Amino acid sequence: MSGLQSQYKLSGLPFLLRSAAVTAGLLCSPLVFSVELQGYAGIEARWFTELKQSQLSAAGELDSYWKIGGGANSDASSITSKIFARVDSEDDERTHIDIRELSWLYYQDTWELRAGISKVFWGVTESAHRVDIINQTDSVESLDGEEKLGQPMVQWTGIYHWGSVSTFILPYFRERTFNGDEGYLGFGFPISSRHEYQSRQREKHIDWAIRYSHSLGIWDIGLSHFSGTSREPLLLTTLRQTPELEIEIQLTPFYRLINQTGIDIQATIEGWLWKLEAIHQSAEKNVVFDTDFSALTAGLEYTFIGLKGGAADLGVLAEYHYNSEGKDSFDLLQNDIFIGSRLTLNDIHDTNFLFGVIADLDYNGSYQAFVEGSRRLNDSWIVTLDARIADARGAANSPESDDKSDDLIIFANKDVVTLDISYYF
Amino acid sequence: MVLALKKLINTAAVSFCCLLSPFALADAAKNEGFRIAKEVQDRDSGWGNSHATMEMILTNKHGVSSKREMEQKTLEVQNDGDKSLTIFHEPRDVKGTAFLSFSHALKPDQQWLFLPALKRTKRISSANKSGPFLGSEFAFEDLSSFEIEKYDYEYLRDDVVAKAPVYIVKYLPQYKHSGYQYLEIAIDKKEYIMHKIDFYDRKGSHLKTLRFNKYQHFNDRYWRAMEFIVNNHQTGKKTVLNWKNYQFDTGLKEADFNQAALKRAR
Repeated sequence: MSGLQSQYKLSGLPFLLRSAAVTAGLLCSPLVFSVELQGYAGIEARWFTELKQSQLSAAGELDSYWKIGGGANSDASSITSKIFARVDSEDDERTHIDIRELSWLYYQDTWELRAGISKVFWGVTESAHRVDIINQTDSVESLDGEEKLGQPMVQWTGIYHWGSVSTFILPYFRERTFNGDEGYLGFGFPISSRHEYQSRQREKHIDWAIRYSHSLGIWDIGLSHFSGTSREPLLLTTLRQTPELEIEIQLTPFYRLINQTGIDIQATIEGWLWKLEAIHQSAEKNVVFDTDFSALTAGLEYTFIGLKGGAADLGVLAEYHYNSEGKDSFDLLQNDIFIGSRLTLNDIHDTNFLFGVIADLDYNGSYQAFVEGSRRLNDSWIVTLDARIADARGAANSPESDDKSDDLIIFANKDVVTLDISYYF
Repeated sequence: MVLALKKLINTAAVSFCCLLSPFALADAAKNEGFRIAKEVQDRDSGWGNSHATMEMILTNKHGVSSKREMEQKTLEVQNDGDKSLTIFHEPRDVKGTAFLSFSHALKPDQQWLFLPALKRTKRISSANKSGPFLGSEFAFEDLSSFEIEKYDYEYLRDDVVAKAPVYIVKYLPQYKHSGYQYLEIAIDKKEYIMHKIDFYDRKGSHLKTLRFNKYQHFNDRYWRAMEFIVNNHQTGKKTVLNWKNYQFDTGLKEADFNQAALKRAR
C-alpha cells in the first residue's frame, strides 16, 4: 500500500521530465553547471501518554539542486529534487517514500515556467490554511497538516508592475496518506486502500488553478481559484470482507469535484500583522455531499521585541475560524478560536517555543493544545520536543451539542509527546 | 542680484546667531555634524549594485561560538532606501531561507522572509529594528541601508581612532522603533569612512562597540570594510562579520529584487 502510494502512474510525467532534461542538456553545455547536495536525517520517538504506547521512526531527506546558466544573465534554469523517506516501527502506512520535488524551472526577468513535481504555498494565517490547495497533505507526517506531498504540475508565472499571475495545470492527483491501524493515530476503523473519486478519470482528472498576488505598501493580497478534485476527502463508511471472510466496517476516502475561490490579505502596520483568509467552495452535483460553503480564518499577530531589555522576542497570535455550514460541516474549525504565542530567545542556539490552543465555541470542552520547543545543539544537530493534547469530553454532555459530538473526538485519548533529533548536512 | 541679496541675508543671519552664543554653538555643531554625515553619504553614492558573501562568527560569554554564512545582493535606489536580498547558507537547517528588504528613509521598510521547507513567503514587520539579526550582536537596524533622513546629527569633537584623525559625530535616530538613544561615530577626516560606532541604548548607557577593519578600495572610489567586530559591553557577547568576494557592477537590477526572485533564491 505505502509502496503504491509513492509511485506515480502517470504517463504524461516521464515525458515532461524527459523534455526538461533535454532542455537542460542543451542549455548547460557552454555555461556553468554546478550541483548542490543537502538534506537531513533524524530519529523521532513518540509517547502516547494516555495509551501508554510508544512509536519510533527514522526519516531523512536528500535535496539536490543544479543550476544551469545564469550568473549575471537575465535568464537561467535549474533542476531541483527533494526525496523524502520515513521508516516507522509500528505503522506500515508511515513507512513511505515521497518525491517532494523533482522539477525544472526556467526564468527570465518577467516570467517563469516550472514543470515537474513541486510544492506551492498560498496564504497568510498560522493556525489554518484555507486558501492553500495545490498540494495534498501528507497526514502521516505531521499532526498539524503542514507536511505536503509533491504535486505534478506545469506552472507559468508572469511578473508585472501590477502584480504576479500564476497559472497551474495539475495533471495528476495525489491521494491523502492516512495513519494505519498499527499506529496509534488511526481513526479506529481501517481505511480502504482503494480511494473513490467523483471524477470517472479518478486521479488522472486534470485540475487547474490561477492566482494573482501583489504587494502594495502595507498590503499583501492574493486572489485564487482552483477547479478540480478536492484535496480534502470525505470519509464514507463502507463494508469489506476480511481474508477470514468476515464482514467489517471500513472508511473509504471520497474525493469530490469542486471549485474553490479564495482571498488572502495581510496588512502589516507597525508591529501588527492583520490577516484574513476566506474561501467559497462549491461542489459539482454528486450523491454524497454537494453543499456549497464559505469558510474563513482571520486574526492578528503582534511581537514584543527585546523582552525585559534582553534579546528575546514574544509574539502573540489570535485567530478566529468560521464555516458557514456550522456543525453540519466536516470542518473541525467550524466555529473555533485559536490563541498562540511564540517565544524566540535569539540566542546562539536559536532556541524557540511555540504554544497554541484551539477551542471549539460550539462544543464545550472540545479543544486541542500544543507546545513545541526547538534548539540547535551545534551547527548541525537540532532537537525538537512537541506535546499535543486534545479533548472532546465535554461535547457529549453539553446541552447545545445535541446528539452530535465534535469530530475531534477521534483524537480525544491520543495525547502525544514527540522528540525529534535531526542532523543537517 | 537676488542671489547676492540672499547671501547677504544669510551672512547677516549667521552673524546674528553668533551673538547668541550657546544656541549658536549648538547650531554650528549640528550643521557640522550634518555636513560630515552628508559627505559620508555623498562619497558613497552611485555604486549601483553589489554582491558579497558574509560569514558571521557568534561568540557568547562562555566562549561558545557558532557560524552563520549568507550571501547578500544589494541594489542602490536613488532618493529612497536600498533593496537587498539575503540568502542563508549556514547553519544547514536554514539553508535556502531568504530575506527580501526594501528599505525606506522614514516610512517603514518592507520585508519578506521565504521559508524553503514550507515554500512559504511571509511578510514580516519591520518594527523589529532593534531585534538581533540571526542571534548575533547586530540589530536589524545596524545592517539596514543608511539614509541621511534617518538621523539628526551633532559634531562632538576631533579624536584619533586606529591612528587615523577622526571626527566624532553623534547620530540621533529619527525613525521609529530604534533600540538606541544615540550613536557616536568616528569618521575618518580624509576619506569620510566610519572607523568605529559606539551604541548607547534607550536608557543612554553604553551598549556595544562596532569596529570597521580591513578597508578595501573598489572602483577607485568606494571603501568597504571587510571585517566588522561588535563587542556587547552589557552581555560580554561578540560577533565578527567577515565580508568575502565583494563585487560591484554585477549586473543586478530591479527584477532581481522581487518575490519571484526571493522564492527561487539559493
